[in-house]
Amino acid sequence: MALASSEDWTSVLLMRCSIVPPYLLARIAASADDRAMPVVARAARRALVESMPVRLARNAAPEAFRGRDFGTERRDLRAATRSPQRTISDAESTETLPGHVVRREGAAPVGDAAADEAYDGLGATFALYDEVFDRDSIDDRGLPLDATVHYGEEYDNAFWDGTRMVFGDGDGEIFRRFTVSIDVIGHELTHGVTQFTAGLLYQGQSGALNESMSDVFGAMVAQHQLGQSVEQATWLIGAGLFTDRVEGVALRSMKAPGTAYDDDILGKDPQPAHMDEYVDTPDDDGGVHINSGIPNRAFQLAATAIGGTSWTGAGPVWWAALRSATLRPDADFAAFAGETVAAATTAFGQGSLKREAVVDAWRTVGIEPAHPLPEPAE
Amino acid sequence: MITITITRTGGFAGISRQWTLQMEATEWRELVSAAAPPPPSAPDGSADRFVYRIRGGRRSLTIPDSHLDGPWRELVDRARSAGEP
Ligand SMILES: [Zn+2]
Repeated sequence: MALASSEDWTSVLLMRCSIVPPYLLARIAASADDRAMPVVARAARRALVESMPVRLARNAAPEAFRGRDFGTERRDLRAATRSPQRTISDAESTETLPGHVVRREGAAPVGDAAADEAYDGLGATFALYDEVFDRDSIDDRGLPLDATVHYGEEYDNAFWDGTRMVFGDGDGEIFRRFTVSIDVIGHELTHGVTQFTAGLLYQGQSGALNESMSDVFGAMVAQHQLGQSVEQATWLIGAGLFTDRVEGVALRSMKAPGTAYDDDILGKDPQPAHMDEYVDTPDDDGGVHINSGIPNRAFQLAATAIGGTSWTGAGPVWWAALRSATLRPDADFAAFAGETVAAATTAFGQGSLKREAVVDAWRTVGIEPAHPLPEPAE
Repeated sequence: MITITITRTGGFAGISRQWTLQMEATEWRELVSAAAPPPPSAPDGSADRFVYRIRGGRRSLTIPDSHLDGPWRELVDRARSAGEP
């Protein structure tokens, strides 16, 4: 049973029950125009996801807890007091961390694009985890969000160092500053979330899954902020990072891995779109940034087949899989695929089209979900 | 003279870069024997960091970005400024 840890029971008890059926919430969330009815759309999205863990666990809930709503006030109190605790520091083109603080939580914009983009991007990422997945920051205990900008000289990278997010300015010829793309910020923060949940080992297939989680949730941060449906979304990671000189639209394409760039200097996007093209290499921790294309595409396929918005459709399924008590740190693609199928079975039902969409998504990229599937419902 | 090849892999983009430079064989041998070998793996929990592989003759070293300093740092900087396209 994928969702029976004590942590999950706590979140179930703290969850507000929704009286609007989920299918209706999904329609409202998908169709409500964010500009015309921002409050409606936002409330529907939030209620939909809040209702999902309740549905996931309802059948297994002990009798004593059924129909009781004593957790509502506590949950509201918990959520109402949440806010990101952001601190943005400036390394002033050195590689010394953390650098000096330029903007703290609640302070006005400082007028430096990298610092203000990092601040806003961390806010949008915090909001996705808080509003959609009911998680209070990276560790679910309000861990402060620390970031450093202007790291290094002409530094072509952004990374998670185990405690903070670090963003380079790029060299200006190939890469622009790494804060320009909000999914990059969501990607880095998600490395922290993965560290505090599944702890996927950063090597080989489990490392590529770790990378894929960061792209999946980074893409959801961008789509959630823009209010995009799965059809409207670009499914690109790092769009805007390349300068005009580079022949490419982004660093990765979740929809069509291997097509994001094809450039004289950089070469061609090496991501495989299918397990048949899995890249065995000692570099890049076993190709974690290359083979992530395979699970990335599985998510994009599942999200598109389920429809609506990624964070209300496939997103909660992937989130449940990431937090599953049976997902091991050294999980391979097939094991993780099995966790998503188990979560989809619990959420949508054994014979449902949405569960089939998840199975089909993995099979399309050449992965047979390995987890022992739950017994069919009677 | 021998050719030193520096390959940088990993990083958010996952794009490998390579630089080469020429060096006196004696200078390379001195560097290898004098410099303490850095730890081969990145700190726990970190992600998206660069990894440098430095090869010259029959010697090959792997250095995580977080430990690229001292003479190895100078070597990489030299190769990059000489070899940037
Ligand atoms: Zn990453």
